[in-house]
Amino acid sequence: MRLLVQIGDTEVQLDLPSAGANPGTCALAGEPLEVDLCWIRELPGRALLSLLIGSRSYRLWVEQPGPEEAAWRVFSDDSEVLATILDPRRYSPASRNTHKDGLARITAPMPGRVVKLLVQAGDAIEAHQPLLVLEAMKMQNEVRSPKSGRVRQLAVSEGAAVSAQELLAEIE
Amino acid sequence: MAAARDVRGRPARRPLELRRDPIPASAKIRKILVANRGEIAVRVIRACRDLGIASVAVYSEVDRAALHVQMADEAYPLGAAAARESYLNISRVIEAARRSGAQAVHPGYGFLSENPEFAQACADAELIFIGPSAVSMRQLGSKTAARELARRHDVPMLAGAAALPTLQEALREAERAGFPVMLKASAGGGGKGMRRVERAQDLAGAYQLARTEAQSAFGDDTVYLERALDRPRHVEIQILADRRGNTIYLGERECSVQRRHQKIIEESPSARLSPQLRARMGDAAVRVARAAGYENAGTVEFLLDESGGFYFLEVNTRLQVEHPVTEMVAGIDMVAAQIQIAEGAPLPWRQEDIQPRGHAIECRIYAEDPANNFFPSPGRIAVWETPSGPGVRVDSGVYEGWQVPLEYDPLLAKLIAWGADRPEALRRLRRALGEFHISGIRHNLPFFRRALDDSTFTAGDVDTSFVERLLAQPRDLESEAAATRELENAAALAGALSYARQSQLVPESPAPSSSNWQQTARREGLR
Repeated sequence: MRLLVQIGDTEVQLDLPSAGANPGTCALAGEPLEVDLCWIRELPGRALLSLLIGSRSYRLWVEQPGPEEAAWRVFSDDSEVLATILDPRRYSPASRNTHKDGLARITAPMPGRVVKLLVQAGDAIEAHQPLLVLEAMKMQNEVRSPKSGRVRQLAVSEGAAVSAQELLAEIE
Repeated sequence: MAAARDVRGRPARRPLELRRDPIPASAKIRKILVANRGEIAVRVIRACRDLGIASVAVYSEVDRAALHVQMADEAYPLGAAAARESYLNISRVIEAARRSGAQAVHPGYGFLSENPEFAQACADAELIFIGPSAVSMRQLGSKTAARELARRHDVPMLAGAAALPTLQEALREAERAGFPVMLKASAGGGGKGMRRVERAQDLAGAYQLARTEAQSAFGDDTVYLERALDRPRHVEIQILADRRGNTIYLGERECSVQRRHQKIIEESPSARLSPQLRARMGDAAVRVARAAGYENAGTVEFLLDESGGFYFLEVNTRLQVEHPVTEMVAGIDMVAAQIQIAEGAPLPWRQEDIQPRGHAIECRIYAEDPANNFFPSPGRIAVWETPSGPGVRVDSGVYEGWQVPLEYDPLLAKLIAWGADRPEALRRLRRALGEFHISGIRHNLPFFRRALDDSTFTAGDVDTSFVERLLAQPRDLESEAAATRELENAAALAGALSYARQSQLVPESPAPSSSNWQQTARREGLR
C-alpha cells in the first residue's frame, strides 16, 4: 500500500506491505525500513502504539483527524507532529466541502496532474459519478462527485498540474 | 551496625511525627468531612486514611462520579452544580456533617476555606474547623486590616494607604507613595480588583474600575493602594501554629511564575533567597501570625525587590494549592499536621528542627487551552497517563473518562518533582512532563515544557513578568517542541499505519484489545 504523508512542508512516500502480520519491511522515500508494530491501546479516535524501527523504540499516541481537520496528530514524549495522509487509491471528495447552499467544491486530495476530464460544465450528474482522472504517485484515480446535481464549473483543464487542496470543480 | 544514611551520606532523619500522647482520647478526631472537591479533597482524604480517620465527601449534582466521592468512606449530596447551591452553601455542608457524625471539617482551599462565617457556623455546630478561628480569619482576611496589623509589628511593607473611600484620598495617597502604584481590593484575591496605575491622570478611571470589580467579585468595594515594584518576585512563607502559641515557619515558596496574578509554577526553596533573608522573612511571618493569635497552617505572602528588600502583601488563612513543594522539602505531611493541631496537639518541632532538604517544583495542570488565550476547556478526558518514578508526585482529582465540569476551577492535577538540588528537580520535572499524556481536552502541559526549556527559568531568574515575556516570544504555543527528522519519520509511519488500520487494508497485528478505534472510524466515516 502506497501512501503519501505530509508533515509541515515536506512530503514523504511510504510503502507498507499489503500483507503480513506486522508491517515488516516498509519503504520510506524508497529506503527500506524494518518496522515492528504493536498496538498497545485502542480507544475511540485514538490509539497508542509501540514502533520499533530497526531497534529504535518509539511510543506514540495517534489521534485521527477531527471533523474539521486533515491531519493525524502524533504525540511522542515531548512533541506533537501533524501528519496528513494522502491515499491515492481511495478518497471521496469530502462532504465537508459541501456548503449549506448546496454548492460542493471538489478539491485535489493530493498534488498530481489532471489526465482526463470526464464531464463538461453544465452537465447533469449523479452522485458518485466520475468527474475527472487525476494522476498522482504514478497511479490514476477517478475523482467522483459527492452528490447529484449540475457541474457549475471545471476549474482545471486536461494536463494541468494541481497542488493539494486546489479547486478542481464545483457541483451545484 | 552503622546508623541509617540518606542518599548524600548524612545520618538519616527520624521520621517527623506529631506526638499524639498528650491529647485526651475524647479530642481525637475519628471522622472528617471534607468540604471541597477535586484534587484537594482527594489530598485530604488520603491524609485521613493515613491517620486512620474516616472521611466524608460532599458533592454537587455534576460531581456524583468525581474521584473524591469514589475515594471517601461516605458521601453526601449537597445540591445543584452552581457552587452557591453546593460547595458554598454553609447550611447544607453543616447539615451533611451533622448527618455523617463527623467531628471535624476540613475546608481545603477556595470555596468556604477563608469564610469566617463558615468557621463560626462550624464552631456553633460543635464541629472542629480545621483552620484558624473565625476571629483571626477576620483579622487577616481583610487586606487593609492585615496590613495595619503587620505595620504595628514592624513588618516591612510598601508605602501606601489603607482604605481609600474617595478619589481625592486615593490621589493624595498615590502622590505620597509615588507612581506607579497598585490599586487592590481589600477583600481581594486572584487578581480581581487589581490595577497598576502608571500616572496620576490614569488614577480616576482605574480607581472606579477597581471598585466596581471588587464590588462584583467580593461584595465589598473597599480598595487600597501600594507603591508598585518593577519586576517583583513573589515569595511566601509557610507557617504552622498550634493552639498553645507555638508558631514556626517551614521555609518559603517562590511563586513568581504567574499569569494574570494566578500562580502556575511554584518551588521551594527560592533560587535567590539567602539563609539570612529567609530567617528575616520567616521571623516577620511568625510575628504577623502571633499578633493575630493564629492557629493551624497559614501563608504570609511577600513581594521581593531586586535588591533583596521584602514587603508584606497578605496572609492566606488556609492550606495553599502549592503546599506540596513545602511538604517535599520539609518532610512534613502538612494536612496531617493540620488535623493534629486541630485536635489540640502541640507542635512537635521547634524552629531549629526544620531543616529543608533538596528542592521541589510544582506545575499546576489546568484544563485550559494555551493556544486560545488559556481559555478553560471542559470536556471528557479521553486519555490520562500520569508520570511516576523517582522524585515525582502527582496530586490529581481526575481520571480517564471523567467529564471535567465547567462550573468550577479547571485545575486537574498538580505535578511535583523533588530532587537533591534544583537542577535534579528540574531534570526530573522535565522527564515527568514527557511521561504525562492528556487527551480529549485542552491542557497547559505544552506551556510547562516550554517554560522548562527557557534559560531564564532554568537559571532561576524569574520575576512576575516571566510568563508574559515567555508568551510574547514568537512561537506557536499549540504545537509542542520541534520534532527531529527521525521522529517525523516515525510519526509519518505511525500516522500511515493508523490510517491503514482504519482502512482495514493491512491485516490485524496481534492487538491486546477489541478495536474501538475501527468502530469509531466506521461510525464517523473514513476520510
